[in-house]
This record gives sequence, C-alpha cells and structure tokens, in this order.
Amino acid sequence: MSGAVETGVTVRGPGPRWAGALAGQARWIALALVIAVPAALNPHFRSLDNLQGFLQSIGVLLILAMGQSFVLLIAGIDLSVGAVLAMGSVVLAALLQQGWPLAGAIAATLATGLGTGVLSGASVLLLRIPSFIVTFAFMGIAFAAGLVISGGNRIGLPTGSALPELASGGILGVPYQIILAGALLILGTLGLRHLTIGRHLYAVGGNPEAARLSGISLSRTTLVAFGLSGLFAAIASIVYTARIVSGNPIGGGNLNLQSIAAAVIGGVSLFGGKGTLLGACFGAILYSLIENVLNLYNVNPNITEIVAGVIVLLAGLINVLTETRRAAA
Amino acid sequence: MTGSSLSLSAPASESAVRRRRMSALATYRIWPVLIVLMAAAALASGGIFLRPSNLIAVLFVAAPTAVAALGQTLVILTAGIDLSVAATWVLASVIAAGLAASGAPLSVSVLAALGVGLAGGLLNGGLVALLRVPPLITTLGTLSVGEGIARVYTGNTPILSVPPAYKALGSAYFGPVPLPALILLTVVLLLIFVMHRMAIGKQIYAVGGNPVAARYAGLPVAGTLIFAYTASGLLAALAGLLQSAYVQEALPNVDMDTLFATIGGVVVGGTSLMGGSGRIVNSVGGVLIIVVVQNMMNILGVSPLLSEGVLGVIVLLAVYLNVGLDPAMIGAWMRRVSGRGAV
Repeated sequence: MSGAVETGVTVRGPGPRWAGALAGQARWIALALVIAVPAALNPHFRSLDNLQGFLQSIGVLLILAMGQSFVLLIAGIDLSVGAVLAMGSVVLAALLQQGWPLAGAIAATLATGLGTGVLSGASVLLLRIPSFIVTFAFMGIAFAAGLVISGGNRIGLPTGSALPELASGGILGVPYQIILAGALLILGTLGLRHLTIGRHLYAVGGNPEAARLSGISLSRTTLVAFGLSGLFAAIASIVYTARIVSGNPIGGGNLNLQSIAAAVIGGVSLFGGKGTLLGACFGAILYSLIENVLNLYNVNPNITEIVAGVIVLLAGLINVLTETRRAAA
Repeated sequence: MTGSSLSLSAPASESAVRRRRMSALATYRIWPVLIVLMAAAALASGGIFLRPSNLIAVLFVAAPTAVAALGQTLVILTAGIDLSVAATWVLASVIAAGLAASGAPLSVSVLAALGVGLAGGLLNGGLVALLRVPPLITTLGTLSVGEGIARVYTGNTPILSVPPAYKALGSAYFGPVPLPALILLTVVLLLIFVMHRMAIGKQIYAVGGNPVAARYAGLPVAGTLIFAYTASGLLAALAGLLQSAYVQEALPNVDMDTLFATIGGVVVGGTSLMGGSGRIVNSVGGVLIIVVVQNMMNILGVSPLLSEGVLGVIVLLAVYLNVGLDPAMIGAWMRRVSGRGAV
C-alpha cells in the first residue's frame, strides 16, 4: 500500500465516515478475534500439532493469493486459477508416472501454467473484453484439459517419488512449502517495488488512461500480470500434488473463491492499483485460520462453504467501504 | 400522412429501408447461424439430429437453461453478471423436490422455489445496488452461500425420486409442445413486453448503457438494478424447478456446465458484456446453439470430459465474433491500422 499510486480524485464510498474507518481496521480486528477467542477457549488450538498442521495446509492458498493479486492490481480478475491448479497437478503427476525426472516434470508444469496465463492475458488484449469472461472461458478449457489428460481419474505418484516431501518435510520445523511461499513473497515484493514492470502494474491499475498517456505499455503489463497468475497457480499445483500425493483433475474446487477472498481481505483492491503481496498472504492466513477454527469445532464442512461465501461478501463490502471509488462496478 | 412523407423522400427512404433490413439482420444474426448449425448437425449425424424424438429432447434440455439465461440477460444488460444463478438453480430445485418428496402439494413446491429465487435475487440486488459491491464479487459470494445451504439442507445427498405431479411439470406435453418449452415461450413474451413496452425495460438499457447519464436523468438506478437481479433469481429458480422435474432428481452440487450454458447463451446471443446492448430473444438462440453443439457431441460420441472446454472455446469465439465483427469496432480498427484519426 505504501507503493500505491496516488490517484488524485477521491470520492468516498457509501455509508458514514466511522463505518469506513472501522472497516479499514476490520482485518486486524478480525485476526485478533479469530486467534484470541479459540486460543482462550480451546487448548487444542494452541497446541504445536495444530500449528504444524496449519502451516502444512496453507502453502497452496498463500501462493494462489499472491498470483491472484498481480491480476487484481491491474483491476482484472482471474477465475481460472483453480482450474489451472487442477490441470498443473494432473500434468505433473502424469509426467512423473511416465518416468520423467522430477525437475523436468516440474519445469513442464510451470511452463503449462505460465503458458495458460499468457494466453489468457493475450485473449483479454485481443478481444478487449472484461478479464472475468476470458478467464471464465479458460477455466473451462483448463479444467477440460486436466480431465482429458487424466481420463477423469486421480493419477497416483510413482512409489518412491521425492515430491511428497515438499508438503510434509521442512527445515527446523518450518515446512518447505512455507519457505517456498516466503521466497515467492520476497521475490514478488521486490519485483513489484523495484522493477519498472512492477511499478507499471500499480500504475495501470490505478489509472489506466494516465498510465497509457505516460507511455506505459498496457499489453506488456497485462501479459505479465496474467502470466504471473498462471505461473503461481502452477507453483501452487506442485505443492498441492505433493500434499495429496496424486494429480487431481477436479482439485481446483473452491480455490478461485478462496484466492480472491484472501487477496481482498488482505487489502488488495478489487478496483486495481492498491495492495501488496504481504497483504494477500495475511488474507490467506486469516482465511485459513477461520477454516481451521471451524474444523476444530467440527463444524459441518457444508457450513464452511457458506462461511466462505459470506467472507467473500464481507471482504468485498469492506473493500467498497474503505476504497475510493475509481471504477464503476 | 405517411404516404406524403414517403413520396417526399422516396429515394432516401428506399435506402433507409434497406439499411433497416440489414440492421435487423445484424441484430438477429444468431438465428441464421442457428439454422446453419442445425443443418450441419443434420448432415454430420446422418439425420439422427432431425429425428422428432431428438429435437424434442433438445427442447426439454434447452428450455430450463434458456429461462435462466433470460434472467442473466437482464443482469448483463445492466453491465453486471450473475454467477449465483447456478446456486439459485440448485437450491430451488432441492427445496422444491425435497418438499414434493415429503408429500407437499405442487403449489407449495413451486412457491418455495420462487421464494428462494426472490430472496437470492433481492440479496444480490441489494448488495450491488445499495452497498455497491461489484456484481462479480457479490454473486461469487452468493454462489458459494447458496450451494452451501443446498448441501446443508440435503445433508449433501441427492434427492432421487419425486412424485408424478412434480415430474409432470418438467415432462408433460401441451398438445405436441413440451410444457417447459411453453413456459419458456411465455417468459420470452412477458420479457419482450417488459423490455420494450414498460419503463423498467428502457431503464435497464439506460443504466447499462451509461449509468452516470441514467443517474443525472433522474432514473431510479438502484431500483432498476434490484429489479434485474431479482428477475434473474426468480428465473433461475424456475429453471431449477423445470430441470429437476424433467430429470426427476435434484442434486445439491452446482453444475459448472449450467453456469457456462447460461452465461455462454447470453454472450453467444450477442448481448454486450459492457451492458446496454442486446436483445432478450437472442439469448434463447444462444442457448439453443450451445445445446445443439452439446447434443452433437453426444451423438458423435465425443468424450463428455471435453464438455466444459468446448463451452469455454464457444464463449471465447462468440465474444470474439461479436466484438470483432461489430462494424463500429472494425471501423475503429481500420482507422488505426491506416493511421488516420486518433489512436
């Protein structure tokens, strides 16, 4: 947020001023409540086991939320991340089954994700239509590709594969997937702050017309944003495949919703130009904590889905209340 | 009076008439496309496609989707989107079928389904119009909430049997015409009347075309949006009712194919995602095109695993053709490549 571009025109959202101020702090209040209440009431929540399990369960969402943020920054949205993750998972497992070395299979998976993202970005540019409908279509295409490659079934990893270690192992108690997510966070944040293209992403999202007039290439920023989203979805698919020890063509499930919710809770604006990867990670952790608490109390998983929807609605509402309105819905 | 005005400008009016015919052809271009597609389907399937039993089946499958797509059209005309139709569809069908299975009369089932649609639509409309949450985020959230409620309500188990009266709703004939097709026709006529004869219809076009101008012109923008989302909710519920009656079961899970077919039908029908431009009836043509393609894939034995990929490609292609073949867009593109005028 510190690196965000000032937009000049500020129009307040609806509602009284105190509502905006409160909503601005809502995510901190929510995090405090989500940690404090269960920690006080439930000894199991405080246990090391739960912490360890929690850390091993959040890598996928952390990485997806960061990828989604690149697209949100340019005021787009990527509805295909869940399907790209499922496709990547199938590609990785299928290649490993065919006897590819781990490094080669991972490289091919990353290329698949990057390629899909770049294709989405190119379609947005070529068709000049909202990114949601393009990524909606690519969701169907990637999903079908995963189903066709796998024949609709899960693909197990070959016995003795080193991949599951990525999900279960760690250094000094810190899971590998958290180290991976942390490295991506640092690299991505440095890129957004110090590379020209990073600053261009903020500029295009903040005010596309001003960005264009100052000579920023809309094509390049769009391709980079969607390419990164696809690449991060593919990285997440590697962690996901390691965790479930198989390639799952229908694994994307609710991850679109969750990645958007996490990024928006973390302060990445739905209207573009505002937000940080750190914020997106924060949102992913908060989202996962809420899920963790619901699980601890054995809440029906179907109710968890309702809660996920309510969280998206609340995150959107908070965004609108705190955000200066720059784009018409 | 008309005669004199005609004779005064006879040469001009002749070309005006031709221009109007051309523009009518451009507006309703989806229908010739549908006819060509059906001819191709007939040839490719060796006539199987044209068998009355197959055509009737196409109508039964297309009618519920088209009903939901009509509601979606109203929302897209306001430059919005309703992803939650898929959840409203599912929730209305499990509640209606559940009530019917537990012995409630048909009227109670129907009213309960429409109540679900009304509540969902009002919720979406309120969030979008009054709290100004972006439509995509609003309906992504209510999509999840609706599916979650459907799963909780059913305990995540499908409702596999419904009484005959309920079944008839989706599979009866009125003369030679399937009842769902008749209901679809009624909804189309009703909406054509609403869109072209009532103030709310013009408001929907105005709000979608230019929300700022609509507000300055004193139009009730919030009320218009709430109307569109509520209509979408009600029609999605009606669609769920018809489809669950036709297949005689109700599943608590959102079917992505349904979402693709409803939104895809509107897009294929040429309604602009930017709002303000499109025709209600063309969405029915768009849905028919999608259902005919799916039917062809069935007949030709194409793997059902490909289904959503094919739908995705159709959506992209339709948007490309509708945007790319828009004369204004082509004009702008020609000016750009020829270096004349502003960029």
